[in-house]
Amino acid sequence: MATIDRTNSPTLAVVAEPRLRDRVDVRSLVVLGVLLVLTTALQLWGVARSPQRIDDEGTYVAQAWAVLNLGELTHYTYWYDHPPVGWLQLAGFFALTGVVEHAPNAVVAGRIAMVVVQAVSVVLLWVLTRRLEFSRWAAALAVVLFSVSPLALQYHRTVYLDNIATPWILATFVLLLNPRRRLVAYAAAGLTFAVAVLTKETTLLLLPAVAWVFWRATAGGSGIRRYALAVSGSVFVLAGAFYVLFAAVKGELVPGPDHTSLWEGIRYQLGGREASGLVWQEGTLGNRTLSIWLALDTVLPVLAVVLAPVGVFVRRVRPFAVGLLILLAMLLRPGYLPVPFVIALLPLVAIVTAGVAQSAVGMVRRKGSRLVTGILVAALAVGGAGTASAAAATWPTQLRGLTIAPLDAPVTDAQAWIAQNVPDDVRLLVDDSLWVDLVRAGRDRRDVVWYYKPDTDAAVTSGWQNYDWIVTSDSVRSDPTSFPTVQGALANSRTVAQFGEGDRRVEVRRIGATDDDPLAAARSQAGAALAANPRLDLDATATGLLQDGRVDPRLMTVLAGVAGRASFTVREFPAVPGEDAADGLRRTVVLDGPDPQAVRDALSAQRGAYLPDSVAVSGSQLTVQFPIS
Amino acid sequence: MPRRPFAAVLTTLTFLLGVPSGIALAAPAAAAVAATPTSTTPLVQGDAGADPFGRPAPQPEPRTERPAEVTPATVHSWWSLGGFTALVVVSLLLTGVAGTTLAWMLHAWRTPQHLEATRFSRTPGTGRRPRFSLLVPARHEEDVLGETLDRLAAVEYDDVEILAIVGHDDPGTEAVARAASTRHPDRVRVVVDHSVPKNKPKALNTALLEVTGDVVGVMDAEDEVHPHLLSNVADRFAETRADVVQGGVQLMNLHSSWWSLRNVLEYYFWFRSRLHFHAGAKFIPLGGNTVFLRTHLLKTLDGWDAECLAEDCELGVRLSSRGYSVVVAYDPELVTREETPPTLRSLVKQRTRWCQGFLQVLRKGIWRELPSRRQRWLARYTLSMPFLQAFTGLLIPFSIAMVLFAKVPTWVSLLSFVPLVPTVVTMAVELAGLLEFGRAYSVRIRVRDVLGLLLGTFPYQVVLAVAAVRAVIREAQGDSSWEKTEHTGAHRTPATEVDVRTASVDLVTDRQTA
Repeated sequence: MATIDRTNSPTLAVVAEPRLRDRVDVRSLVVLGVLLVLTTALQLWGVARSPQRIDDEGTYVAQAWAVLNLGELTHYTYWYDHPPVGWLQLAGFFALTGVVEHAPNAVVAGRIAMVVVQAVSVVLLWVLTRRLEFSRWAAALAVVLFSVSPLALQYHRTVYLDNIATPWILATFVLLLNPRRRLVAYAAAGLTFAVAVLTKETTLLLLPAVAWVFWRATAGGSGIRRYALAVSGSVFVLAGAFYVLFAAVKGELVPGPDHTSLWEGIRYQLGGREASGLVWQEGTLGNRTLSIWLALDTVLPVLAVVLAPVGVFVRRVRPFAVGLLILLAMLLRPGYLPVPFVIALLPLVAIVTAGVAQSAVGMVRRKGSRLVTGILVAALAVGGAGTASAAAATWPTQLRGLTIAPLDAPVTDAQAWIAQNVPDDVRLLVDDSLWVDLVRAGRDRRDVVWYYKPDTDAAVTSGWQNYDWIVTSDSVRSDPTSFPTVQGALANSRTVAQFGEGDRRVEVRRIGATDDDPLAAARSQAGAALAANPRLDLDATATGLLQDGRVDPRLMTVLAGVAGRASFTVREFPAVPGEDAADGLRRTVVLDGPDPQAVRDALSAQRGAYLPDSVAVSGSQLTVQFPIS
Repeated sequence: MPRRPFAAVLTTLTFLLGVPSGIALAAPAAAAVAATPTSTTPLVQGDAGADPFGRPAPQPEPRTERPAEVTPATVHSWWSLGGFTALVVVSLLLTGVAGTTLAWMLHAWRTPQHLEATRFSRTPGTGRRPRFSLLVPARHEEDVLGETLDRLAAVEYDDVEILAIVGHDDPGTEAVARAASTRHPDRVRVVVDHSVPKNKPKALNTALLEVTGDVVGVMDAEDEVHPHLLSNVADRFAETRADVVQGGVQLMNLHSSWWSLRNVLEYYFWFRSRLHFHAGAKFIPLGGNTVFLRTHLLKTLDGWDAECLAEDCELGVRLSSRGYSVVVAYDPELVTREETPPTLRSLVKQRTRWCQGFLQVLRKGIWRELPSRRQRWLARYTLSMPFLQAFTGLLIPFSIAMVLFAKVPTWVSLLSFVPLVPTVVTMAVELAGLLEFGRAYSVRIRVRDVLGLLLGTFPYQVVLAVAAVRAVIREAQGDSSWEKTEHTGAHRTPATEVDVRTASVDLVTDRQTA
């Protein structure tokens, strides 16, 4: 049987695959590459220093860590406040890269994940703007606004679920605008949008913009729209249904005794949260949030408010302008305003601004009526110059703060202090940004308790009497009345070490002690007596400390004993960082004298409270430190 | 081991009372205390926290024990592990089958260019017009044959001959055919088939000997053919230089019943989309109607296989394995219109026949001669599809039920729902197809139809599964006899019905009930 050679088999010419229209363009790649390197470097510079770690970041990182190390969805009971897809992705990143082992702390590991996420977002934003037929400079402008603005930089650096959702929403737009109008791309867009919504549910507010872009992309009457809608719509709904299914399979769909439920989680997010109040009213939470944003950058918010209405008239970016308007309208509600809400606005502002600028330049180039051209040139000049000068004036200071200023020092120092001075078996109430690091350092996870949980989770012990220490930060102090355990702990504790100042300070407080200090006078007297001891040679600072009663009584006792042996010079009573700020007593001494070895042996033989934490000899010097009392 | 304490136990300084430092030494080798005591309060030896005045150290508040460590669920037994693995594997397989079915169903709409390519070309061609020979086998079709032949004779094409094939034992139909031949002497001829026992492929092979055209087309005795069909087919041959052109066949009676609606949509997606995929993949089970083949090719291949229940599919497989190119074209205006089997029973019998035919082709093994491995796997998969699809439809609810009632880990549960994803997407696509069908053929789609479509998904799978099981049983028993389908009244019958072996069994459809 003859087989006809059909290697040149005629197929319909129409079906033959057309060459890729957007072929790889070397110049575009170069520009994108440069932008990517610069923006990533900017985001990495100071990633561990600034801004200060916050509670939310710790929560997401802890949940991701719990997925990998504890085999649970969250480190506490999962209560459906957010779908878990966001921190599951974070957990995937941690598993792939092992960054938690190598980063200085767990939240920095999360921030490095955010750097990678931002890089992906930058690439997707570039591709999206190019698919919208922006020229290279307009696309570059969009990328710069999106990455370099201090508002963008700070919020993109922080570990928020909104950041993880951003590449997915950008991918949705990119897929919808695929040049060859492939059905599989529309289906994929349905899936990526579903992942974005399951990462951060507020992304659903962008549904009108997505639907509009979809509608536009599938225009043409070729019948593709019907099937694209069927496939992408059903994929989107099914992905969401899987989340509901997940809750149902675990028996946590509807409220009931002894378990959390999806219903309650949704209800909480939609209505149960405390209203932030109107953003323009002084003193409300919303106003505070807005002022934080405006303090970081005024350029982007002004561009958003001014150009969103203008963008509606520019065909190229109309859906994005409408999406931006919807999000801005959400800001005006008196209801709850989440702090990271601004993240969803950032790519839209970038796109709308660059699109409007490009269209204006295009209209000028086309040289229509003199009047219109004149107005446009004036608007471009004023707008461009104004934006550039405002940016040049305000951005550098903020950027310096974000790259160089050691804003996270209080938390880092507190963490180091806790590691050195707080015993391993005590129970701590902490801000979640410390949780993973403390647990990884060896504490039992039931001993390190996120302050949010004792009063809200039945599985966690409540009551301040059950805890030994509490570490406070701005978030812990911000809402004292909602958490009786925290409130009681704060009232019945005394600061032992304090790092930083003002709102950003981190205090390590010991519960059970009170602020009043009945022994102050006694210490002064003892110190004065010790200072008068002829066997001890002290300088003025040391004498002053002793006479003020700033030296720990155990240390004074030991010095008295040491003086009984021989003459020593007291070099100094060094302060442990943080303890001075909390009016702590000096518990370290550096001595200089004959035979420090014998003194060391003698000191090491003490019992009980008089056993020092560490006795170190170097040459003729002896450093003695007592543990925190 | 007691150590030599420096100054023994350093007793509590009476600093609590403001007494300057004095250390009491409790053990031997005490050092002298040098400080000058300014108070005579005795130094108390003991632990820190003890009060010189004898007050006991404050006892810590009684504390709640921290909650016990929650250990995750215990290890499962080997049986349950095996069960989970089976569930996971089955779920993945089901997803694969449902997913490929969906992907092939959507083939035509991959891009707008692809969609354009599935239609006949819009511009009339100017190439050479071949001579068509249309074969119209008929048996006991007195009522409709005459009209069909008239309509075929009226087709707008110059060079066509129509051969009506009638059995030598069927005088009624022969008379109608001869009458039509008298009316259109230059177009219609009658060919009498003397073979015994009768079936369609034999009739076609008989007529093949008398064909004078360059292209042979096969039509059914009751088809409604569009007058412009042949010119479009000729253009298609010229454009693509293909060996075979398969035109579209479309069942039209959407509203008859819930299953006829599903049947109609099946044909819609098959001819509109899926067949084009097969044509592109170079493995195509042809339809037995509105198919046009180059004559010399047919003669080289010795015509149709007289022994096969699905002779059209078999011919397609043979063509593919020899490397001949097939092109499919579907245009709503130019399709050949038909109707579904009249009753559910007849549908089951029709499907049993198709399934059995596919099995026969599979067993016959001609597909092994396909050139590439990918094509051979596609052949295996396609020929087994009726069975896979039927059982997929049944297994999905079963696996879900199992998950709901048995205790399985969460991720296994979730995984067993994954096959539902392509299933639900398929239903959405079918809905879109239904609406498009309504637009293309100006048929009103009512809410009832939509509900029937969605609710009928699972019952239809049951019907197909029953047919598949019957086919397997019949093939295993070696029973390839023709099953008579009941008909009531004169109306259209399905395209591919073949009558094999049983003497005096009626061809095509029979108006007499069994």
